[in-house]
Amino acid sequence: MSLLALGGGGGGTEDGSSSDTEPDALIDFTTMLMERKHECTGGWFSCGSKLQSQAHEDHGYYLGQYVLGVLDFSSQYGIDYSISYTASNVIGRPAKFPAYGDYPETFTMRTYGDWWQQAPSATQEIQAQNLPALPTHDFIVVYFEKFVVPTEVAIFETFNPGGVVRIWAYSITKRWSCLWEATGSDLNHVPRDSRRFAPPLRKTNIITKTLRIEFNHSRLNYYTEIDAIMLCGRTVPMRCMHQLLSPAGKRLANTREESGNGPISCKLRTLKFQPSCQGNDAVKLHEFINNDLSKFLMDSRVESEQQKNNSTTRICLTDLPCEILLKILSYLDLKSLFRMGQVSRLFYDISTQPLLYCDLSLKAYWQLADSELLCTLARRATMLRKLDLSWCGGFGEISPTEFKKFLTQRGDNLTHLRLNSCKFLNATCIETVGIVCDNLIELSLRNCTTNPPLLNFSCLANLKNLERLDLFQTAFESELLLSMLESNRKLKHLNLAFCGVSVNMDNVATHLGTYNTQLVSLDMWKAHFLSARGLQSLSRCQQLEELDLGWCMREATLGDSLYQLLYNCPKLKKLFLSAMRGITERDLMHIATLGKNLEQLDLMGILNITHERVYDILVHCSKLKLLDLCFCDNFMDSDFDLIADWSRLFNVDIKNSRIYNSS
Amino acid sequence: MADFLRLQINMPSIKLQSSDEEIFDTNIEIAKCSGTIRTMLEDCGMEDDENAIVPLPNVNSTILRKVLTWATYHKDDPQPTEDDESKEKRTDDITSWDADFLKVDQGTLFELILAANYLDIKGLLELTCKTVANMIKGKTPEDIRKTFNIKKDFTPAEEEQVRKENEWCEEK
Repeated sequence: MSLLALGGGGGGTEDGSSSDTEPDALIDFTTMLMERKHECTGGWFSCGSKLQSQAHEDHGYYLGQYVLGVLDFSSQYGIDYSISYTASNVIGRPAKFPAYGDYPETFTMRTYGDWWQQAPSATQEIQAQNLPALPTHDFIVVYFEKFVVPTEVAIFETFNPGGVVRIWAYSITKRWSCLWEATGSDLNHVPRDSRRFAPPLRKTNIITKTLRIEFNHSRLNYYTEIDAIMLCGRTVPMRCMHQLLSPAGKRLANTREESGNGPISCKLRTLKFQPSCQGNDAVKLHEFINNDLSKFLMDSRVESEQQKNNSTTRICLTDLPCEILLKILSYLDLKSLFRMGQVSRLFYDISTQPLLYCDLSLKAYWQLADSELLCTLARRATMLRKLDLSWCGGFGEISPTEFKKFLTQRGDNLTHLRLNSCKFLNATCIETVGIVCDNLIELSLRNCTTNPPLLNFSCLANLKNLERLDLFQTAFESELLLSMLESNRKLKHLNLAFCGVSVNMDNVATHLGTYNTQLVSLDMWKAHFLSARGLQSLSRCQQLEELDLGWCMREATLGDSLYQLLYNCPKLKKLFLSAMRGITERDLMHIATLGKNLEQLDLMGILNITHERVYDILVHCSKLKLLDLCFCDNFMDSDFDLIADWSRLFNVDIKNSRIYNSS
Repeated sequence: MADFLRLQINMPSIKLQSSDEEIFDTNIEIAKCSGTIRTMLEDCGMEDDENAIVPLPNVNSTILRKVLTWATYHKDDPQPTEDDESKEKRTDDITSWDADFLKVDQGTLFELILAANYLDIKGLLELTCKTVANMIKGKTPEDIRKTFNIKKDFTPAEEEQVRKENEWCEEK
């Protein structure tokens, strides 16, 4: 790996004016070095107080900078053309911090808690053994103006803090490193107040200006809101840049030659002690001697004792029959499975068994997945059924060509395909999916919007067996969707949230009511726009268990449409009617009398709801577990105690706009 | 030894015989967690015969005792269902009792696996296989070889090929 190659790759200017449209956090040494000459003490985003300008030309200086732009995000509460609750709100200085509360000026994601996992539309993870203990539900990738060696990352949480579980940095050498990872206990004692969350980072020498923040919502009581993100660190002086740029290749080669095979070298390797090309081997060695050497000596003694024991045991792992070894290996995450294949011939043979690769997910390895891995997997996964490549290939690690090749080889028996936030997808990739994967039952293309939109994908019309289609936050052509609905009569789950302005939801609803009467769940969150006519058509989908109409009906007058829906769809368990201004008192009475199976009900932002109607719903909807009454204008501060009483009495989690402070 | 694991005096019991010819007087419901024993009892009509002896020539007394201890503790577990497929693959769901129960040397662990397989006890087989999987997870190939005393037998060319395939998961 040559660092020299990176210099030319950059190209784009990083002066802030054109960065918003940049597809990629390109690394540009030339600009950086030029900027150094200007010595513009930190740029216009830098935080004055953090700037302990120890500006010795040779050492760089400490710099705290706020986000310059957003490269990617998995979900946001707001809609792109709005300024409320969108990802771009993390750009720049905090707008609200240290205030605590629900502010539209922040970045908010689509969900919280585990309600969405209890809903009828919930899906199971593919190859779940790959997931870390605290899986990532959402992420945001942001970039800053200047490269630094990070010493601190501060996240300004202004509402329901405690969602951040991992902080990654994209290094100048085009690798992701995890700077911090939460443990379960990190999420246990979180204040109900705003905070500047700056967890202790792993010591690192990497140079970065791109961060990825990952979130896990399961312990959040309501939406978490992020006001700003700050990256602090030392800028990189020119001298170091030169060192980095010139002899790196040679130095790497040297260290390889020097590394012997003695026990200590072996142990060093297993301890992941690998001198990196970023210099500072001496520091690392020092750290190792100070911190880990004693442990290492102890460990090696333990191991030698173990070995003695092993030699006297009656049977060992390799004596187990193949089918049992196969079963053991089936519990391994993909990384461990590959490592097991490196142990011996026997285990290579077992670990490459196609049976172990029927369900394949690289989502947990988004930062490692590349074209070569796909190539290797194509040889092993001859029985592939379910594939999840979500989040992979965001920085060009997977080429569209390699993806198409993989799909052509292994896609014909695929039943499940998830390509959420796959930035490498282009129109021909989607075409390949349509041509090759005609057995698909599930297709998930969340957050796949590119410019120009790639989903004018007439080839997807080949698919005839879809039961789940997820186009969350992805723009597509209206005609195509309608023809897909027509040809996939078994469709059970459809997600069209944030699907853009070009699709008329009334037409979609009419199609659904005509062709897709098996529909179980439908998400039209912030889609445009549904009227009473559309809602009426939906009532022909009598199997509906979940319906999200948040923000997609706006001021529309409902007439009888909601009544008909409730009357015809008695299985409804989840009903989200957020900001549906046309709801009348009569509609609320219908919810109470007809919503016998309701478990989750969102009435957020509905005006003029009276206490009587809420009480009525609580009494009659006996299965109710979640009721969102935030921004219902009739509930004043004085009512919150009453709501808390009802919440206990009926054992329903009632959300309201009351702000709980730590006081 | 005759009353070993006999929960109540009046519960019907059967006699299990280990390979080293030790007899285990066992509550019939507990013995039936083994698919193999269940089938034997049903096929041979031995259920009503108090004195019938079920020979288990593939399991020695040490291991059988362990197996029965496990089965007794888990006698009230719900039957494993097929539906939650993805959960089954997770290995972080081992209870502390099970973890303590399996604090044994490797030889015993592997013999328990063989016994669970032979006796067809799904829960125990899963638990023991997961435990071995956890001993593998996150380790380097060299650590795995050391842990299980396995010899590397690749030719240099093979080793190079495998190393190349594994480049993506090397810590960097």
